[in-house]
Amino acid sequence: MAHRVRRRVLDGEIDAALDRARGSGFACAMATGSDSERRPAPPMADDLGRTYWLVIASATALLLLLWWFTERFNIPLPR
Amino acid sequence: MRTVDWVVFVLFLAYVVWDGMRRHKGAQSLEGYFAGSRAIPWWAAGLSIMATQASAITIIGTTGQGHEHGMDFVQTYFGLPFAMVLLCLFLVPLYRSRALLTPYEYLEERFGAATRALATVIFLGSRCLALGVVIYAPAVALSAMIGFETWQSVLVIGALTTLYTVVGGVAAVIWTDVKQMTVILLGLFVIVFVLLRDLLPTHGFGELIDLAGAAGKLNALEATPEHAALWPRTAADAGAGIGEPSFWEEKYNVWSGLFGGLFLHLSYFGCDHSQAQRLLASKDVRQSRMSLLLSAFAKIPMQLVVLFIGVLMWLFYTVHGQPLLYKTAHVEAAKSPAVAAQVAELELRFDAALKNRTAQMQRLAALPEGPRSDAQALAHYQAAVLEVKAIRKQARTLVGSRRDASGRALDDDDTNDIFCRFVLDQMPPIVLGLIIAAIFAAAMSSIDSVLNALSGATVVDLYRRWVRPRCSEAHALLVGRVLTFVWGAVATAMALFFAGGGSVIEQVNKFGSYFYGSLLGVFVLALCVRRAGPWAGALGILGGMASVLAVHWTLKVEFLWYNVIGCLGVLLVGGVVATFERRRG
Repeated sequence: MAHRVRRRVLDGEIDAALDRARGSGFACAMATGSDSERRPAPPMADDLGRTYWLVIASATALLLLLWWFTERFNIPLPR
Repeated sequence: MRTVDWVVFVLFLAYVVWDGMRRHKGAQSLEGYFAGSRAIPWWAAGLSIMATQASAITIIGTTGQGHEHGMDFVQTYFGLPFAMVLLCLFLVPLYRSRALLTPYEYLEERFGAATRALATVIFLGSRCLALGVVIYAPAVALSAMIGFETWQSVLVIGALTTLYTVVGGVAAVIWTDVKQMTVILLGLFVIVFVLLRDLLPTHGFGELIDLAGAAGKLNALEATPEHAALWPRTAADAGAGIGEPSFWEEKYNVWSGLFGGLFLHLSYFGCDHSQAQRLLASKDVRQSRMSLLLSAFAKIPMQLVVLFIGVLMWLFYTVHGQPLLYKTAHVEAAKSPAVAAQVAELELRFDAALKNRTAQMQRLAALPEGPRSDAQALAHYQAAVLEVKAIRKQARTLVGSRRDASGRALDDDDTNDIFCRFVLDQMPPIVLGLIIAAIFAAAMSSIDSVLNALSGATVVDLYRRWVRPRCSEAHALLVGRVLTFVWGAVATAMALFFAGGGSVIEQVNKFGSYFYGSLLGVFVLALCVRRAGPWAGALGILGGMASVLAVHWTLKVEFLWYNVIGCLGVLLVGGVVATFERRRG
């Protein structure tokens, strides 16, 4: 999924660059002058897949715990 | 405040300012000033992210919320861990695959300069509004605690924070945040310790939980919506009290927290430059992700502790007796001859109500099978709790300064004064100084990041893009420092004029929620709608804001949902426009 979205982003950027190169209307008038293009990008690396699952699992467990806690101890005041 | 508390407090302030200003050596280039030379370790960036979000409002406002309304506010954060994972997967690699100084630079690459400028203006406007509140909250606390006028406190907080942020840049922001977060955690730990030390000799921990629960204070997760109607009421009907409230009018429940909160936190941590600057300042993509994941693990537990402090404060006052009025201004107003007789009558009723609540509490606490085992005792206890609450509301309305258009007195909420009153009355020497330092730390850690971010976005996205595109790095850096000062002055001025009615923490989230959905929406549009081009980006962001405004004016919907509405508005308008853009191309 992540790869697919990243791929789409890349494609979208290529489209936008082509649009600008063609000089089409709005895109040409608002042509990019971003500083970021002139600066080097840092290396990409990631091995955090398991950590993401750990975050999701612990957050879900915490929500279930809070649900139980509320059901067990909380008694709403009458309105 | 005693001399020793002043010493602790002033020493802390002096250390923070010195620590921030000594970072000036690393802030001699634009990248050093606004991105910490991309050399910040993940744990420092992560603590800084938490410190920025844990503003003084978190301590003052959230404990007040816990005291008054229980723990339901924690539900706002339920979407946060999931938002962090999504940001790690999609936005962080997007940002770190290019050397951005602000997230809005990416929008120009993707959509063109108009969308970038729009997003920048939205960020500047919303953050500047919220910053006024962030300075105002601790100023109120200080004025109550150490006898300053509110405007004097605003000036001290604004001036000191602006000083070290101007000099040290984002490195000063992050490294002072680390120390400030340490003091905040220490302060919270000490308050829990003092409260439990006072409460446990008379009641066991289980008993305290039962008593708080029986008063409806342990509502940490409300899965069943109170209102089943799915069609929202119009704002006019809601204002006139016509019709039944809908599901969308519930401020906090698990659904608004999970979905509205998810969108709020996606936008806040991913698209708001005051938070995203840490992602851009970390050493690499992995460290950026780990800095976010620290909050994913720690934020909800921390928020639970802060709210639980509020509940413990309520228990403390239930056991030991409670003041009728918390706000210093209310106490002073109650002495006025015009209301003195009515206040005296209310005080008599309040004393009787407190005695009754204590008696009912003791009766309930004595039940071996817990509060649910005796329905009558439970009903009496809850009625006593409500009676105390009602008399306090009458007193606040009587002595408060809030009036509606017809001059009728309104409830002058004192949620933000409960913590200050408690700390001032109950904390031992040195601890009081430490806690006031923690409140200051929390305020400064939020203000400094926003100042640097406002300045960064103004220089990088507006000044260097539109005003002086070919200016030198040294010139841009100088402008950055000047703008940090200017934003500091603007925010301080806004705080001076801010009328702080209602709960401050809610106001900050409300300000954000009007704009955040649109900001997030344009990034989602960039990621997910391949066809979207310059017109889709610019019109989409305007469409998102228009949809939030339209809903705000016509329907009664709680603010967390504005984040979802804004984001969907951008995707809808942007998606439709993208279809025509493609055809044209």
